[in-house]
Amino acid sequence: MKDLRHSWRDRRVEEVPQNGGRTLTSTAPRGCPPTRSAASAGRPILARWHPRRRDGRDLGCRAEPEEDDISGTATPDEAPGPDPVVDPLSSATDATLAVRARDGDVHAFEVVARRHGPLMRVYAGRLLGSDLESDDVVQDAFLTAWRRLSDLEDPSRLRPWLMRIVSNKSIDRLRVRRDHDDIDAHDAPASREAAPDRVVESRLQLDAMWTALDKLPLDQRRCWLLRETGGWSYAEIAEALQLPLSTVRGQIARARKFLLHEMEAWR
Amino acid sequence: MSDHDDDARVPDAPRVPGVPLQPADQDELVDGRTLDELEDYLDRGRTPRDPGIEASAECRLTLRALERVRGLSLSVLEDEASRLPSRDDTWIAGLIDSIKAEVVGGRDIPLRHPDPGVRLGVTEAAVRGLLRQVGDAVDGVVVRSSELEGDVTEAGAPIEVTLTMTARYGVPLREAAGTLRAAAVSALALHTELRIAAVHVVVDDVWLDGGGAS
Repeated sequence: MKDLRHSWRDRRVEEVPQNGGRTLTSTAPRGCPPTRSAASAGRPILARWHPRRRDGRDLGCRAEPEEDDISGTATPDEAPGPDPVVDPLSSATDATLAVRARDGDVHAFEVVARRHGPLMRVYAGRLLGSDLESDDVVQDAFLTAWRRLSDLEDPSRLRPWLMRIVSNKSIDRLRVRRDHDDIDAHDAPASREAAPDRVVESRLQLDAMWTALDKLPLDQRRCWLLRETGGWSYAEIAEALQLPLSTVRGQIARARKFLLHEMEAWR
Repeated sequence: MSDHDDDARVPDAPRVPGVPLQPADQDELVDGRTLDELEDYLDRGRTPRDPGIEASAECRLTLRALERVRGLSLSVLEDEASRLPSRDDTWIAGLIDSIKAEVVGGRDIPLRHPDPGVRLGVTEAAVRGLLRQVGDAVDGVVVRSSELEGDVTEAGAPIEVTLTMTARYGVPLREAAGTLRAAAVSALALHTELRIAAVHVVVDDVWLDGGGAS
């Protein structure tokens, strides 16, 4: 054991578990031991325990402050991993990722952020009427999500739960904004690149829907998305936006009518 | 979505300027039903069945259109998200940095050292990370969570380990659980000095390949 511990110290930068470990003394190794030496000593199962590479990026060393020393942190283009190992979490279900993240697995949460971050950004952007703040809001939302993972009762409902947090964070942002300046007035049309595959009917339908949503006045769109996408009740929306319930119902009714009308051709 | 209160409409809410082709705001009845009524009916999953609605072709058509715009509201965001250039790395890197600072190490698990002046140990979080990675190395297995029961801070105390895992559909569960168990036992023996009294493996889910991101 003594020799082994020695080797840990030598290789601690290269091989650590993703959630890392604090140490009791400064001389002790950080995190868990490496296993290349163990693997070469004929322990087949551990032989694959090394930082996992995906797109050449070293994902196994997230908890290490010495991350700069790690050779695998180059961008994917520069240094593709020599032995790409398929990340077993890339195909894991949301429920598995949520449970693992709750168990302290930072990497599992990173997979969650990569999987759901883009949708959350689009959603926040449409709620706020601006893509400028959506990155901030979403990052903040994911941080909150990480801290509150233990509140997630049904891990398979991870995405709706995340959307709810993003909704809340977006509304917090609106409140701050309202206290200063009404940026709502400058609701910028969503910038959108033309899709190359416009021949497909579903593509056209999605484009029509995007345009229709974009044409909605921001307050109607906000109420509509909170209800239909965020899953909020009228009462919740009214409370969050500090509007009378009747106003919220009216906004949603008008949004619905408008969207039905705009999408009539797609019946 | 679960909002089923009365379907009273706002009487003539002020018309919002700048909306092109804004349909009339007054209640438009679909075969005697308001849109709110139809939407509530959809929210209830069309149960209990309302023969009046179901018998009306016009209502059914409107229900379908409603379902479409509601469904499209999410799909259109998903579609847009899938077309975003993946410039995600900056905010994700920032996020992960913040999170790492908050990872809790858990209990400290002592390791012996010949020099009495040195206290050596690993954290519980590190051991649980080890168990996850050991599990990931077993084909068709992903460890979801782990528990170390017993006083891990005291050398020699008997520890029971419980691993909860999910398996890929089609993987023989008994075999997979056995492999995971053996891998965990040997990894713990190699990397810790814990006295492992038992390693329990619980399979609590099975996943279908390719179904992860859905």
